[in-house]
Amino acid sequence: MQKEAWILLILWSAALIVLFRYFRKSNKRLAQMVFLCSQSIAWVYEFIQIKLHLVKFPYREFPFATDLSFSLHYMIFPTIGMLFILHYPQGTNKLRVIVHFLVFGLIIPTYSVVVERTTSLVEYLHWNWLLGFCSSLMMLVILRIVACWFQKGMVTERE
Amino acid sequence: MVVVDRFILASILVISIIIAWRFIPKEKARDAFILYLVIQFITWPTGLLVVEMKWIEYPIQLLPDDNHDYKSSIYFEFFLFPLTAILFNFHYPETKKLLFQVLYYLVIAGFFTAIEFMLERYTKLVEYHQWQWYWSYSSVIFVLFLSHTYYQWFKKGLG
Repeated sequence: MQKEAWILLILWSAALIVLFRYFRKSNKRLAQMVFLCSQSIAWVYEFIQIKLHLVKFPYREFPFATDLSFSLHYMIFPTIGMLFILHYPQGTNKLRVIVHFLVFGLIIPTYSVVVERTTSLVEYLHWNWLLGFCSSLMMLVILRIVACWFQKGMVTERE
Repeated sequence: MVVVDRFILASILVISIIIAWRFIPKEKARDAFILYLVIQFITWPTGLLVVEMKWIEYPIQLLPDDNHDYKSSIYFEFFLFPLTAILFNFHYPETKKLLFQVLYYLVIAGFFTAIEFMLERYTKLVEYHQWQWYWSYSSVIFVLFLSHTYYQWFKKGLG
């Protein structure tokens, strides 16, 4: 197997293990909703990247059907987005919130840069780490807003 | 005929948006949202798969270069189908006899399949290659069933 396939396999397995754990916890409805919502946000994000020719995904899951990377918007980003929301710091400590945003905002662009350097999963045309960092922060903010809105209509779960 | 086909597609979009706006009550926005997301979760991989396998083709898309980077049908999968599923679930005859419920499935899925079938016949929006209308019909029924089962469970967490 090529190394790209290995990386995807490892990421999918890791994501599934995380999801399997979190989808059984008491706030599983929120976890699932956030996961699904992140898929949409990440899809739009990738779609824009492709439309504007900012990046390319030479090695991808559906090479004929689409230029988008399926795993990235379907599994990888959503899992991180879910962890981001479920571990969002409670209380009013602003510093903790900022650190939380920074830590999660770093994951995707850093992974992306490493993968771009070493594999053909991503290829940057007009893209860099900083842009990746800013856009991933933006996605996390959107996700947080949507999650807050959605939670207002949920009953507190105790199981 | 490209213009006519695009016009049909644009009308489908506009009509879906109007229906969504008029027929989804505000207090059920979250219900609609989660249904929308869970439908996407299923149609994403399947929609891409049928195109990748060249079972179905969408020769004409709304924008001229859409087929360049995304050959699956954004408009069926992310507008028409989720909307059908949302209204299907909102008006599901929970208290009626089983026979009536089965009929309800058959009619709604039939309506959706009929639209697709007509579009395949008379326009270039959809082309079936190895695909048959009864595959659409059965897969739509199955997806509606999945969404319904999921929604029944998820609803318990919505206040």
